[in-house]
Amino acid sequence: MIKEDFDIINKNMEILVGKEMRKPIRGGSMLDLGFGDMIKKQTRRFDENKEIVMKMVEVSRYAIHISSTFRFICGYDIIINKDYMFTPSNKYIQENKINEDNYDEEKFNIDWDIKGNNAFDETVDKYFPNNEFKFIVKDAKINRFGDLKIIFENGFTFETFTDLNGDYECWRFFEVGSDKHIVISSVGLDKESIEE
Amino acid sequence: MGGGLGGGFRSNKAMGRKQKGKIPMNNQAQNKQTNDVARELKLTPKQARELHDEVSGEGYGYHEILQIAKDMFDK
Repeated sequence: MIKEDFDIINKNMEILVGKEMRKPIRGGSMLDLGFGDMIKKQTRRFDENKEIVMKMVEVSRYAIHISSTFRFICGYDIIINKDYMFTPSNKYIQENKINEDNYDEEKFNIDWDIKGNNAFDETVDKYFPNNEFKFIVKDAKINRFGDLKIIFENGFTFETFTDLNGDYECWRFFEVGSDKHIVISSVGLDKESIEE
Repeated sequence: MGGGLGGGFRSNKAMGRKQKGKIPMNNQAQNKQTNDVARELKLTPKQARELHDEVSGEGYGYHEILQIAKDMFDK
């Protein structure tokens, strides 16, 4: 990555310092992290008949969407990583009576995208932000490869790595409603993403 | 290990996850995300930005994101 892009990205990451991160969610297998105050926006939602309707909702002002590998760590533990999205939840394992003896890859080929089927949804629901335990950003920086590290005041650290080939998007940072997005791939900053 | 959180957090191992019971994965093959929708529908960078903005904070599944993108861009 060239120095100019490195500086642009890190300058933007400074916005996150002091901001609170909300509960991590996923859009398909894309990790969606929300930061800062809540803002209102008009958006498409699905009604009870699965039809798209416009609704006013509240979302975090800033977002990071991660397509590449990531992990949340604390102390010596990896709390959650991308692999959890494709790993059956304990609930799924118990309900389907999966064990070491009867495990069959094809038989138990779960649809991980269904909420609750995978370990990511289960772990996030159990352990991530609540009123007593906040995730306030202490520091947020990239290295020269575009790997992002966010350190939280509570001792947790988030890391994502630019591990996708070529110009495939690894992660992006943006303010909701803004047309300028910081988009990072293995080859650096996508200039097109910050064009007007 | 409790991760320094008074035992509130448990590691994968402590939660009883059996690695043998894990679905073998190929990250690229299994990845289904907003960027894949953008590629599938041949969205412009501007449209991709609008799609990311639209789905941000919603927690949709891949097919819902695809449906929303089609609705947004008349695809």
